[in-house]
Amino acid sequence: MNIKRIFTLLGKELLHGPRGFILTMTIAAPLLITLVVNLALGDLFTSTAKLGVYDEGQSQLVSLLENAAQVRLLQYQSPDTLRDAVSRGATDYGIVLPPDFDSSLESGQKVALTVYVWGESLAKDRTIITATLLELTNQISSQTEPIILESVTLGDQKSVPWSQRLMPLTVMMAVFFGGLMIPAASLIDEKQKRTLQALAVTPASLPDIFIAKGMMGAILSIAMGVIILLINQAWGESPLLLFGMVVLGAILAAEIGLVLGTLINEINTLFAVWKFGGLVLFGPAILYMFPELPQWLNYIFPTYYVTGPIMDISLGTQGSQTLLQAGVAIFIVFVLAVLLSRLINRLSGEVPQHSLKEAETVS
Amino acid sequence: MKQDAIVVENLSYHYGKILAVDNISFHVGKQEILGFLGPNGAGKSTTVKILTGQLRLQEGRVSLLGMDISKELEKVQARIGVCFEQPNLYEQMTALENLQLFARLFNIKNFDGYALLKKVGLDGREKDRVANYSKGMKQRLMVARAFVNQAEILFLDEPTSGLDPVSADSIRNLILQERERGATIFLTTHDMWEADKLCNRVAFLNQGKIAALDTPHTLKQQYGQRSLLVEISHDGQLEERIITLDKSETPDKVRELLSHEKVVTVHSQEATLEDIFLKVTGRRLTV
Amino acid sequence: MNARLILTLIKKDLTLFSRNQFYFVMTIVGLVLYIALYFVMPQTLDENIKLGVYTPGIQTGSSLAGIQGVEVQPFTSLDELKDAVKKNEYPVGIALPEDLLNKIATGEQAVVTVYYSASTPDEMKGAINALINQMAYFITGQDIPLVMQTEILGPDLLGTQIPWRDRLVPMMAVLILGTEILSLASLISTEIEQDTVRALLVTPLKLRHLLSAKALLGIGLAFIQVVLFMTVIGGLTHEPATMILGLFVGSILVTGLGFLIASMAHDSMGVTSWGMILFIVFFIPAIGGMVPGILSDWAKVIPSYYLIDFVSRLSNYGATFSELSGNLMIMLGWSAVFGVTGTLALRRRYR
Repeated sequence: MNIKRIFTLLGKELLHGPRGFILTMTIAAPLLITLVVNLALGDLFTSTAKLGVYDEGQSQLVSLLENAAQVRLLQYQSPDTLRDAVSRGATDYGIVLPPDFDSSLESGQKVALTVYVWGESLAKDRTIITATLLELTNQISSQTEPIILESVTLGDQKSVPWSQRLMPLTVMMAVFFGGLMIPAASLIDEKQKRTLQALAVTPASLPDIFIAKGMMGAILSIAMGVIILLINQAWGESPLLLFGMVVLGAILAAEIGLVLGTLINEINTLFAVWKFGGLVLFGPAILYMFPELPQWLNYIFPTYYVTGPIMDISLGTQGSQTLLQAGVAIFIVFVLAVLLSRLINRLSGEVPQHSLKEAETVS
Repeated sequence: MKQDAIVVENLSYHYGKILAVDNISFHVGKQEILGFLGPNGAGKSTTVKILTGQLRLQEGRVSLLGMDISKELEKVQARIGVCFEQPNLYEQMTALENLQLFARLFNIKNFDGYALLKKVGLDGREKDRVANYSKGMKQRLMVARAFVNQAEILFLDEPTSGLDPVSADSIRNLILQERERGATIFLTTHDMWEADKLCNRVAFLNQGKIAALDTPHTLKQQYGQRSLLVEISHDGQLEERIITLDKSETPDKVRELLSHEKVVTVHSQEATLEDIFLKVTGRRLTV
Repeated sequence: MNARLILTLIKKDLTLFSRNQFYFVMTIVGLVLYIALYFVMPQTLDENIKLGVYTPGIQTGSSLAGIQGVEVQPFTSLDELKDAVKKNEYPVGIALPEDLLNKIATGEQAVVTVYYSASTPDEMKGAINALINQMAYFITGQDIPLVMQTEILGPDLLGTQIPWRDRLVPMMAVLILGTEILSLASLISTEIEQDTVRALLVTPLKLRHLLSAKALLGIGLAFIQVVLFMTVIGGLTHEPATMILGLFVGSILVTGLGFLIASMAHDSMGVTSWGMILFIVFFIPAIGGMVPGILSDWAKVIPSYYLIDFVSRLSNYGATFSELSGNLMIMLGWSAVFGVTGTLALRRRYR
């Protein structure tokens, strides 16, 4: 293994390699993944009901609703657009506030409110919105609340919004996505074009080549992870630790990519592996999003031992469990490294030492 | 009068601003082997690609077997066979499967792939995947594939490239057999000896133009210089003397040598096509 | 169009696929995993908030338990309640004072203690506060100043919500089809890379035969996989012919996209990078299938939107062929655009 040759090969990969591919993976993919996650996954799991309002009379209800954490307020420009939004499910409820809403309430009159309800709105969301509207309209009409609520927080975990919870998962998805595909596709491409053989007969050894490809995958996937964290400003309280785990995840991803690239000889097979491999890689993310699923399944996914610590560090709840998981991840990295070295030996036709000894014994 | 198998008139081709083929014209008679010789970048491959329909005709006229390729390309391609310079086989298929595929494309009934593979010296390896073939074996399979449809015109691009002398010789014999069968052969090669041995006529292509086109014998006559290579023994050492033939002073020089020196051997020498190419174009055919 | 030539090529490609046992195994394993994921996901959607309640001497049946969307678990001791909240078994625990009703009757304000787990989001706290206040208004008989004239838009699924696994079906179908974009693109680009396309094009086979063979194979592979998936998970129970037609058109759509990628890419790395980007874009509308209303109209620019919408409305909302025929036409239109663009680009490369 020669460090200088490794960096020469790495330079070749980065500067003269498939630039389009590299640019895609480091710029386009992180942006798109961030878009996808910000678009939907936060909304998917938040418990905030959505209330659309068309206000004809600048009611104070609107500002009260804006400050109500249990409801997400969406304002519309006309009853038709409001109704359309409700029918599409863009909002759970839609209310049309008449011009005299506040004055009627303040004078003790009952107000008729047009309410559109999305048919797929969950029961709890309907209840929350109704209860919130009642509570706030009582405030406007200055009715005295019959009870005083005393809130007590138990336990020492932190309450973290869903978007922040999901960001580490997003980062890991991006890191594994790029870190795995880049070395795998690159190796398969070299094998198909037979340039791997051409490289292997130079002073650069196969280990040098593999390390260079793995480094390219790891560097690009770390870049992807960092870009996503920067775009979303999601470093949390321990950015260095988080970065460390991203690096560990990138190395793990690169190793898996190299193993796949060694075993697979043509690109179609890589895509077939990706089809089911995606599920395996992102299994921990799916289990996290659906806690009703048996959580012990996490232990069978190698990515769990990276995503788990990442979640803990980003939520500020790292502890001994985190250390253990990270330790397992490091162990997996080591095991994969050993597997890779054996695969490389097989690829180059070298006879392993123990086989030589067996041959001597037999003869 | 026999119709020519290949007629090319005023053929030109541009790659953007680069003129690869510059207004060439030639014809190839039926059952003739025409050798197309030239250095890399001379325009040989471009010419072959146009004739076989891989490139669209830009300027000029090309007629194969009496059919205009710009109008009847499909009919033409059903009656030609092509052996490419670089192997482009289905590596995950066996040799037999590769040939059977092309036989089906040509709609050949009762195709005997075993016989064809035996012909090119690949018997016993029919069911091996091409990925496990050596370079020479792949080249032989490429030649076999060109023979699948018993084509009336064969375009062979460096057919013996990468082959050992014995295999190369067997391929050359096959080429001659194909001619005996009635095929017309358009051969591109760098091997001067092969061109000399196989071709009825050779064309020298240089920078997109045909610099010379004639039988090897005529070219040598026209451009070559015959000579005698005489080995003499002088003070116990063998020395060579060269006497140019066909000159007025030739008889005197021969008489003088025979009279005054101890002659060991006498051989007549002809100019090679390589020498002629150099003379005609000012360039070496091979570096 | 020469069927014999096209069939010859399809047979050749199937032979090559069959040589690649790893590919077959991976494809089957992938399908099995998707099916397993479907069956592992919960069959019902829980639309209730879970509350732990400690109400010494007070029946909660007429107050909290009767509220729609609330699932109440009574506790017999305050410590048990607090313990359950601390362990996150219940995000919220409510302790009603014994003298609540007396105080309300005398017009005094009673103190209700609400226990939250530290990890409970703020929006949940606000919701619980509003609920408890609503309960208090009901108990005290206070006049509600609002008269809500409610109109339900769309089918009312209260109590019969579409479970997550069924919402995920369009997404999984798109994932299965989407991966085939890459496979088809590489089917074409591999022939180009290995230069076998030149050997084919000097025979009676023409580019149109080659592309037709690839298209048929691509459509077939995508279609078979997605239909198999839908059959096993029971996705063909409502209007099976319409669903199969939609999936077939979806297979044509991904094939067209594969052509486009093959024309843009010069090698397998190019296929991978272009394919990954288009795959992610293709996937975006699947989010709309999971979270209705989340996507604005701009998502309709993405062709897969119509496929997702088709599968979602057919399998989850009982739509009919006539309601979905527009989607089919749009998908076919996009397929034509991709296919023609890709074909023209490939034709330029090869005459």
